[in-house]
Amino acid sequence: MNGMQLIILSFKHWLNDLRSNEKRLLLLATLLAAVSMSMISSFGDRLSRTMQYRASELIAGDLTLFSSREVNGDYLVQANELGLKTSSALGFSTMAYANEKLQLVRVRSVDSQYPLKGYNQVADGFMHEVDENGEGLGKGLLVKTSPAPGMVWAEERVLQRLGAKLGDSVEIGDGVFKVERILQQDADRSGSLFSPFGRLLMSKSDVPQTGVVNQGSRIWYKYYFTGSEKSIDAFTKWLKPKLNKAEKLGGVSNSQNNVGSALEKAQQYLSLASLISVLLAAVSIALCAQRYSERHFNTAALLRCLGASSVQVRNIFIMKLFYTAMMGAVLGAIVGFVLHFWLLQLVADVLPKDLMPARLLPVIMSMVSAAAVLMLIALAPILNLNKVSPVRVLRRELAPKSVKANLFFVLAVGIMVALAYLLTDSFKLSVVFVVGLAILLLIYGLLSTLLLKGLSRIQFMLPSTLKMGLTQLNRHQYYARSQVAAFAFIFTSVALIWIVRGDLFDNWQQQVPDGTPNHFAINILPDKKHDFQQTLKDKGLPATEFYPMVRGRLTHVNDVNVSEIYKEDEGPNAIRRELNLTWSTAEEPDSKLVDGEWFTDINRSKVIKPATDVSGRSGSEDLEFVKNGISLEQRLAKQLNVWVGDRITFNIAGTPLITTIKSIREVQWENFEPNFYVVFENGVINEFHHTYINSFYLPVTEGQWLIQLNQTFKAITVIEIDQILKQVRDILGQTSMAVEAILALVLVCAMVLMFATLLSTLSLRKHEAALYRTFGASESMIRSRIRSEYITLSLVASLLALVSFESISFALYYFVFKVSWMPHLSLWVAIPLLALCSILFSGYFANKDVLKASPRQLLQEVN
Amino acid sequence: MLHVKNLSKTLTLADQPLNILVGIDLEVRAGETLAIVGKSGSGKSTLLSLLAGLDKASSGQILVGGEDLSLMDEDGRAAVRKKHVGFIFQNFQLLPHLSALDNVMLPLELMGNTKATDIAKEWLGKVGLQDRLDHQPNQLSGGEQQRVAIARAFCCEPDLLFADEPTGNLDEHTGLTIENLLFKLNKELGTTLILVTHDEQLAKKCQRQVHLEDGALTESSAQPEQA
Repeated sequence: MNGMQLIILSFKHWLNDLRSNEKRLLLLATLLAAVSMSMISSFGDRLSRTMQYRASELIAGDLTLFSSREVNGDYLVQANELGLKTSSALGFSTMAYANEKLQLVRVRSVDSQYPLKGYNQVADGFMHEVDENGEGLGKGLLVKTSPAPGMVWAEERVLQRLGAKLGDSVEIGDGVFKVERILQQDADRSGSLFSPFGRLLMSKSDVPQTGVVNQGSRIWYKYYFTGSEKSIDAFTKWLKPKLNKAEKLGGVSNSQNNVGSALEKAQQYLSLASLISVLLAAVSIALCAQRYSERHFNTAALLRCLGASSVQVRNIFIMKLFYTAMMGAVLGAIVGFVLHFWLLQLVADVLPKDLMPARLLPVIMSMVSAAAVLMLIALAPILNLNKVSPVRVLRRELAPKSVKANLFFVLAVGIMVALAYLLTDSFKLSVVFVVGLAILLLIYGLLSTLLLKGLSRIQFMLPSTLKMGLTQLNRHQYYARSQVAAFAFIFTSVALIWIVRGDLFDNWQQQVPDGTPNHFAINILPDKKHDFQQTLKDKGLPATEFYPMVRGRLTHVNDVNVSEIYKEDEGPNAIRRELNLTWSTAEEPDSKLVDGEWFTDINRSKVIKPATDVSGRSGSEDLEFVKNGISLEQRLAKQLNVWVGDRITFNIAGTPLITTIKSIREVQWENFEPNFYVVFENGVINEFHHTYINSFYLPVTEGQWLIQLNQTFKAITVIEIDQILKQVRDILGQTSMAVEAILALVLVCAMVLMFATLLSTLSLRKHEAALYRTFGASESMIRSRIRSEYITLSLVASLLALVSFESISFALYYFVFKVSWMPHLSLWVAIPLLALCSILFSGYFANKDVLKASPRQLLQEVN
Repeated sequence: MLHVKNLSKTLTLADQPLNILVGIDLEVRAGETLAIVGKSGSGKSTLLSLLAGLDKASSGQILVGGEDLSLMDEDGRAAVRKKHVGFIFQNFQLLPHLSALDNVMLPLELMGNTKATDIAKEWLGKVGLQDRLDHQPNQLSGGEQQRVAIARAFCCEPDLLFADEPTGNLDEHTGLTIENLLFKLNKELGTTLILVTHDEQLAKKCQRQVHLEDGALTESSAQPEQA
């Protein structure tokens, strides 16, 4: 027999094989693995290529400089001297007002040069609007301009919430502006892609007339530079040593960190979820391949008997496996590619609008990977067929010696790690994930053994169905343990994904006590504080504290510069940004002190005056010493590794201040009141520019009063917590839809695994059924035994799943999210029901032949 | 056709040797029909597996068509089977997922015969199953399955045909039909037939009978009945 004849013979046998359940499951498992990988790879490939290819366009320049303060003018002079083009922006959050509605917006005010690179994407109408010719007005236009003075460009969601449209007027502080265009995509895409705040673009020259930006206001500055690569490099080299801690450079190389980090994380998360489906498919493949091999021992023996060499037998079965791999992988990869468009659609709102086009490479890689998963995992059982002795045609009891299963187990784990790496691009994450899963499955195996043994001890107390079921399960302990572990794992995953989707968030929200402040007012200037306070009092709102805020930077710990202690991007976040420093007039602290003592008197060293000229200030002789020290938040103290008595140096508006830690406080961050990392004693930093922050509770019915408040105090920004939470929930909901798409795939794979697991015990079942039927048992009795076994399996697996799930959820609620935990009673009903339905459904199809066949047929098949 | 000299087979069970066959000598001429008779557990299947090259002897020599099986590995013996040997089994040994036609074609395809389909169809016609080509084994009766197995065994025109209890799973009437068909076709082709059975009546239809008892072979002097 030559090669072509072998191919044709094996293809013919493969076609006939497709009638068997094992072959169909092998095909389905491979197809699902390919679908999962192709969908996520195509999705991720387009995102990462978009980030890489359009990096400079995405940050609106070749180089950016971010600062919380206006930078030294020398920087821009140097940039010009090097031939760079420059542009600048000023950003802040404030309230926009229109049609008696308020909306918190993130404003980027830009000069006329913006954007230096890339395009703003705008529209002349809402997405749903059409003109008289039926053309969509929401179609995006790429423009290289920015709003002219007097105009604003706002995101569609901002306008919808304000009930405004193009041409309407919108108030920002004291300024009134016309909505000229709808902003679909800012040229500068950096910053959080998952921001709950709507965006607004305006001219920088209009900012003074708004009156919302003052000294002490929370604003940021951004500068854009573009030019030749040589000039950019030269400028970067010149600039870097001059930067202070408030200033941060951003370029094409780390633009992905800014723009893509959220997407990268989301992609990794989706990839891991997809990997679970591949893992389930792989386990199904292993089970089905084992059963397929066992059922073909006789075939292999007959082929050898008829004169086929061991190589021919091996090649025939490998070719059949190859056809399955190809069909499953090709079909699956195509389906996955099509599905990735749907996945993109689910999260369209949070993605860049102009993604790179799809390409074939991830599809082909997925195809190859899925085929490889099948070939490599199924290889060991298939190679067993090579070792079947031809004597088996006369002596059925002869089984081949198994190929070393341990080696192939190690190989299978290696394949999964390689796949995880392919999907997540992180070796560490891949190893942790796969090893973690393997350990988890082992734990489940152990727990299922204990549970089955425990239930057997109290069998006499159980209903007869469960008694019968337990007896059946105990007859095949190995299979029973594996099935319970596998099903428990599946249902635990389902339950966990359910709570992450929404229950956790809702639960947290419901536990917020009544009357907890639901509004924050910020940017309250000192001269407005009294009036604002009075307004709240006149409204009858409970009196709450007004906290002063001074912006300052933590620069030294025990006289050592933080940049010498921590590498870039290491260390607590508090050293990489300006902090809101405050002072306290209270004689007692409002938080629990864990160490040290509160400010004992106001006998301070002196009132620190801001430096009028900060240039050239350096050296300890210029440092102001604050005698009575500060109170530091506990978590920050731990991160900085500091204790009471240690020294912390701050730079406030160019004035260096050295302080000692007088006390360490435990702060309840979740109490919805203003909380601070650092508290000074009253009077020490009062002379620095500061604003006030206040929180208050306002019933949701008082929306009108809130609008009036904003109109009266236009420079003050009032943040509605409920609205933000709703927007965060909406975004969570959107992104969770993508996760749910993956979950659906995981569940389908889980069903396949369920079926494969049940199929793996089919031979035993047939044998038993043949004997029972021969001895006189009726079909209904057989059915009843099988049903009781599956019912018991469902209940035991769901019990284990629920106990695991509630333990994990308790840990999440109590230790991670710090909210009260309550059992999820609805899941205690839903999970057993899901388990019963899915296992009985799968079991019915798996055991159809057993129930329908006559005893003679069963005996013939068994013999 | 078949020469066996001092053939022995010993198995080791729980560290104890178990002599299944001891010092077997046998000569079978080309075209002869031989029945190997013995009680259950006498070693008939073991002897059959050794003669057919399905298993390796512990000692002794087996020559099939001049080729010494005792010097060959498994693949070598497989090649001899492909060239010279056909099989008929008690439990038919048809592949359940293949049709009757595909089952008969199997050995022809393994030999690389390009006319496998035509030859298989012809042989199924000879056994009276020309209308059941596409039926799978579970759609055929026991007798019909055995007829397919006979067609499969003969289609390659083997020099040597082994039949292991060919009517063991069939009722008397069907068994008789199968026996008649087997001997008829065997006579037409002139194949050397070695038949293993515990049925004395069937054994008498062969030209020679040998008895296997306690691992040793003795020749019977009974005359064959007309098949």
